[in-house]
Amino acid sequence: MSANTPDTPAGQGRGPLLARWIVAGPLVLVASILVMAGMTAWFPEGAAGINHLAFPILLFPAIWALLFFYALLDARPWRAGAVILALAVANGVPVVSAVQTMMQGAG
Amino acid sequence: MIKLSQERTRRLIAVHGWSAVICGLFLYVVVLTGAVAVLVHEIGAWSVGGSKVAEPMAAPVDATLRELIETVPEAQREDVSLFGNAAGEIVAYFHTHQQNPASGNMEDFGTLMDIDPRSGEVLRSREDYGSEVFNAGPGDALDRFIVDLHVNLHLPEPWGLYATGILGLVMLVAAISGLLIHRHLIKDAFVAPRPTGALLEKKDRHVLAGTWGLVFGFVLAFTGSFFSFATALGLPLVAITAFGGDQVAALETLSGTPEASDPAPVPMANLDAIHARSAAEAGSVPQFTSVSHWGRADSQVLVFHAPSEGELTGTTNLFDGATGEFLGVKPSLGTVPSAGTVAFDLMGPLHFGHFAGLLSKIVWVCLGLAMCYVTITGLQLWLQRREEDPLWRRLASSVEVVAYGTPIGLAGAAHVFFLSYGRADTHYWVASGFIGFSLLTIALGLLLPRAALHRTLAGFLGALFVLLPFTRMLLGGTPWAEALAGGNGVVVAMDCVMVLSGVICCRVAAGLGWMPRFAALTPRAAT
Repeated sequence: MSANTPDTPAGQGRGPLLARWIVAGPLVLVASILVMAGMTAWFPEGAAGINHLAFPILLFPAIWALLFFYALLDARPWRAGAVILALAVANGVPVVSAVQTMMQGAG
Repeated sequence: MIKLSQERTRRLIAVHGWSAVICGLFLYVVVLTGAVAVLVHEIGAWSVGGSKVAEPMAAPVDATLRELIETVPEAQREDVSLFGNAAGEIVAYFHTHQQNPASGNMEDFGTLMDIDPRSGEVLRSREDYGSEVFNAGPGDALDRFIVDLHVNLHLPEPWGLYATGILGLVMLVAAISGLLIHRHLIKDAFVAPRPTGALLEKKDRHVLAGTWGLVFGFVLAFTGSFFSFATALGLPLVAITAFGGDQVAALETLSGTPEASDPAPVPMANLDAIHARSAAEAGSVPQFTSVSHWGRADSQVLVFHAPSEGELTGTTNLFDGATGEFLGVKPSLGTVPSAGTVAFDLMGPLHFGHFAGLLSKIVWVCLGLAMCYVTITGLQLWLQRREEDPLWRRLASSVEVVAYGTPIGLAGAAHVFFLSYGRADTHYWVASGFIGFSLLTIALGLLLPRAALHRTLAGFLGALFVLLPFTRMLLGGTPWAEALAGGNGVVVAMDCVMVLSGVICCRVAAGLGWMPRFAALTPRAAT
């Protein structure tokens, strides 16, 4: 913490600041969870057939950090939000499909 | 050197500061207990006065196991786990798998026995689920309390793991934003603290410790949040997507459990011979042995070894339980080596620092303590700039209370452990001791003026540390001569570490600085 500047970035309105909070906070968290779960569908299985299971769990902190800093450093928070949302939706499809199959099986 | 616009740098500084202010004190508790937990095996051995034998898993165990397995209910004879505890006893867990009504999860359930490796006598026996039964002996109270405080802050599952996982992510943010903020990384690594003003000096020390600990902080945060989220979040989610929610199937695929089953009864191979062959293959004594399907044709024995000389990760050897045939080295994940296995295998050594024995552990402890220093000085810097505000001033006292209160609580818990060991329920009294000494520190924080708080708490902590070896020995702990004669130098070494830590705290309390200064060598003396 070597701050010698104000806590709120100067020259930035409440709107973009709130957008950045939403994108870098809850949206990034949900997106990184969905990316981790969805990765099992597209990540290569590898010789042992476990890479698609192991790497999503191993990389979760890195996925979150990458998305968080992208949301934090992009000049336009809404653009970052749109990219992260698209990533979340693309990876969320296999997750939703698996949950639906699970529910049907349980029913 | 990373160039960022002024606007982006401002955002990074705000995130670096606010994340530390909101989570810094919790992060400090987790990192401090983590630094202590690196020496958990040594603390365990010290707390019970040393190990009965140097390598309990090297002792013959086959005949004892064959006798004992006949004494447990038949349903619990499915699998057997074996390992040595800090007291040098063999721990054998005869178990089956069933749903734990408390958690709703499939768990191991069976009878755990602590066995004297010299006589084969059962010292203690208890029946419970796997999540409850391990490290529940009276001698495990102190090390288990420290590990649980680090792993889940003693919160119920899975909330504790979520909490420490989030703290890991906060530390990751602090490390990456710290790296991006520091424009002169190499220069910062060699900055000399200037004694011109308190704030400058504190900032220099924060930057210096932070720069040197940056990579370590990143590694610690990444691996720590992985360990927290892997079982609490990652495995259930991956199981939903890839196995329709079946966590057992996901675990079996990850661990590479064979699908073929043959329940035909067959006599077990000799475990002592398996251990001897495994030790010859791995170059070290077994650390943990897992026997699946005891007495069946499809029985398998997995023998885990710590990293041998020159290796970063340990080895797991696989044997046929019925014939004793060596089937080869088993990867920790899956059945054949893969990139996922290599990455997974690196997580443990990087987080626990046990890859090069005591030396790497000491380095990990020192770097962990440096991270604690960075957290506390960072918070102090933030608060020092805002000391005009009464709210921030109150938080400044809290920083002192938590910074000293956590080690005071731990040292107090150790005193209470020695008082209760062999006399009362150590698990209950260790927790009570920690809470009691923490409350005492909070009371001192409320009663004492801030100017006197720092020195009083440092003195209190120093006294607790210095007195620990005396409490241990006066209450029946192993004396130094006996410990050294029994090959338990760790007991003497830990006593010396306690006294040394106490002396350093007492020096701080006396306003002398943490170590003696040699006038001719210090920049202060030269100017």
